[in-house]
Amino acid sequence: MKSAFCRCHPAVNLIFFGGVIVFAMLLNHPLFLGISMLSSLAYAVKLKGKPMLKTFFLFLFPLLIGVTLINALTAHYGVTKLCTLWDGNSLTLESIVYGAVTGALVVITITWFMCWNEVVTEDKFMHLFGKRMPHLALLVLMVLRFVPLYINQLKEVMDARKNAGLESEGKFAKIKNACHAVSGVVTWALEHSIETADSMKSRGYGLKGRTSYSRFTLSPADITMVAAMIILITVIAAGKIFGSINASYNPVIRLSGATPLLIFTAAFYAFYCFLPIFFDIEEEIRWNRLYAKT
Amino acid sequence: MEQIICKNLSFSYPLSDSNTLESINFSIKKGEFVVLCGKSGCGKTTLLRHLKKELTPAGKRSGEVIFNGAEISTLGDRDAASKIGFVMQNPESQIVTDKVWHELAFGLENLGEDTASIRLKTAEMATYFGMQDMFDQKISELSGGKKQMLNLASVMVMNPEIIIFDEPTSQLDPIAAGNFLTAVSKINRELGITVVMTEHRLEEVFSCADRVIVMDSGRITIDCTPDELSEKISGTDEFVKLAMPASIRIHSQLSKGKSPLTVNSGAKWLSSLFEEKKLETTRIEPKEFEIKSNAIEIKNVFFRYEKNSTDIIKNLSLDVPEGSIFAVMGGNAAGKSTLLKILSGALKPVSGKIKIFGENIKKSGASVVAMPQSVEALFTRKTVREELAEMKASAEKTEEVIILTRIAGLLDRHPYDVSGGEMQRVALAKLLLKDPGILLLDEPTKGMDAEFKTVFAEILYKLKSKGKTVVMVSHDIEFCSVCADFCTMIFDGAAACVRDSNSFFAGNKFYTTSANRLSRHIFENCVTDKDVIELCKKNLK
Repeated sequence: MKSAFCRCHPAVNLIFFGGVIVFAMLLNHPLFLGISMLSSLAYAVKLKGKPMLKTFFLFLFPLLIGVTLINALTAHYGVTKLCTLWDGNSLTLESIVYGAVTGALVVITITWFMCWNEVVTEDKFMHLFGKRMPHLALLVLMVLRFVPLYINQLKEVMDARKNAGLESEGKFAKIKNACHAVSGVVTWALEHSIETADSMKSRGYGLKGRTSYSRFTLSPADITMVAAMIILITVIAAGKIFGSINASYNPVIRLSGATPLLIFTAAFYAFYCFLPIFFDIEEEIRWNRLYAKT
Repeated sequence: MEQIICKNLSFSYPLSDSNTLESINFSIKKGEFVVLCGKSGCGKTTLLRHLKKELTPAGKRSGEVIFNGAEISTLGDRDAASKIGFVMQNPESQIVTDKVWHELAFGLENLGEDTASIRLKTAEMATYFGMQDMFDQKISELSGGKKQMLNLASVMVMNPEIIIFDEPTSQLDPIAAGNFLTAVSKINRELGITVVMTEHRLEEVFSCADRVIVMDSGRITIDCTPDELSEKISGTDEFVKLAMPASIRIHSQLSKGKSPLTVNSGAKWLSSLFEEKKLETTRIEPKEFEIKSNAIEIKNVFFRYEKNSTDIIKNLSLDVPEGSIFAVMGGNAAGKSTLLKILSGALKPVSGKIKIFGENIKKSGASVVAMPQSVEALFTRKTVREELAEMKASAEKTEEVIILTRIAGLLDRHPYDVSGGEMQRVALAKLLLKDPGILLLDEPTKGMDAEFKTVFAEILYKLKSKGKTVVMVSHDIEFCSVCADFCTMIFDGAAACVRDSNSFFAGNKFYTTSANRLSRHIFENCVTDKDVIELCKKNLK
């Protein structure tokens, strides 16, 4: 397991990720965006290892710069003119900053979703959404299973045709060949789905009162996590409602200053965003302590 | 107590004039192990489906099927689903979900059981079948044998009284098939679950079956215990004889009365036959094969799938003589299929040289064709005739191939509508239209019954007499022993040795035919039934 947070109940994962995404949208104050970006990147690196750094420098960072540039060159609001562009429009500080903020928001969202993908496996997803709609959940599950199966069969068919000397030269012939392969896969899929349907029927699919089995149970650690998250979310939301965290970028950049309330809320926000990492560290310390004893 | 009773059951499919089932009468007691056998197309599957309410085919039916004292169609849906289990042929297509634990829970979810009892029941089944380690695995990562075992377990978890198996091992390799049948006989013995099974591989089920029912064109022709069947075997038709275990096949040719059912008792019987007799000849000379030139020369080939993975093929060198039938054997994941893919040019070796008819592999072009393991991948048209037309061969050539592969009667059928053995022959016909010098076959006898195998072997002989080279990867020891000129075993990515098939199998202790295992203490080099019978007759004169 890459992270102890993965072991948590799916509901814990859902609340956490829901929280960070919603807060990222609402709290566009640079300090808060910075906290969210830093924590999301740190956790993504923890989950995915070194390749994540590569993703950041080759994809996410250029994306941030790109969004900033596009906004700066196409939007011209703001009062602080820096220079005049070749098309007669002016480049303003406000548009650059707002571009950077938007870019940061995009990067933060992508990074948190990368973490979501690692933490919330298909099993957990099914647990979260399968209870309400057991039939729909099963349908989604079967699609998840069939897509790779069909792709694999298409490869088999293409290989088989190639090895039978049925390869064709020329663009048109190649397209025709591919069409035949796809039609072969469709026949195969239909044929096999009859058997799947038989197997489902013979195991009682379609009886009234189908339940959705899930292997997840709430542990004391999960309950602690939920409680901690509720407290943190309440405090952060209160901070936002009482106006400690405001930021507007058009036409003038206006940011809430470093009041005690803002620092206080930011500290709570940081604690919330780094929660999975803290959880991992706590687990590690506990493990090491137990391990050292024996 | 009678659990299932069939009374005068007749059935015909819609739009069909003839009856697929014709006044079937039999009964099955609780806890019995019944094997149903017969040619493909004799109505076995149709009969089995009548024993499972949800799968009963639509058509005209007369007579009764009684389960636990009541007509099966009056059985409640919940009972019908849980009390009668059904396991089909193809391991893959019976699976519904993507994870092992979920597949086990699927039936219980349908029955509406609560989380706690599902947890207990799946845990119990996973432990019983030794599946703890794969409980969390994705099903797509499992081997065919494991998948079929999972199918059995996910039927068992619903607590059935009877399980019906429709050729459950036909898509499995012999070792996986053996494991599967062992598990089936275990649930029969230990849990008292009634088993009704159709099966080609009578060798293994014969000793654990209580009863054998033989069907022929929709009728039951024989219904007796394996012991009784072995006595009257000489009076039955060719199909039944071919399907019997080796000990019975050999015994029935040499003497009358009760046959030994297993290799062990067969060996004892053979010893008693020659007790205190002087043996004249105890050795069969291997068939001579004159090697003119090599069709394929493989030198020091290495292969791996990914840059940093381990080698699948390690320093493999192999020569395949022109005009021979060459069998490549070996366990699962030994690299057999990979080797075939390299020979067909689908995969490129990392290093080493391969020559086809003395030329570099790239230039050889159409002289090599390969038949995939699941031949369905070759079919993309509506009829067999169109399939053949796709190869753009001349009319005479097509006619010749149709006669050779004996598919004249199938031309207007859909390629998916013919039986397993026929499908293989249609695929073979398609490939032969390319007029290849070398034919690569991957598990060609998978899903074939004994009679189809004989036909298939004859086709291979004919190809050989035309100077074609056949390389086949196979698990089917009996088939290779009859058919192949040379055999080799791939282990750990390299070919262990190449020998003619007689010395190859005679030299193995475990990986050899039943005929060899039951005769090796008396005769040398006997590999097929024919060899053993020949030597026995010589010595008994």
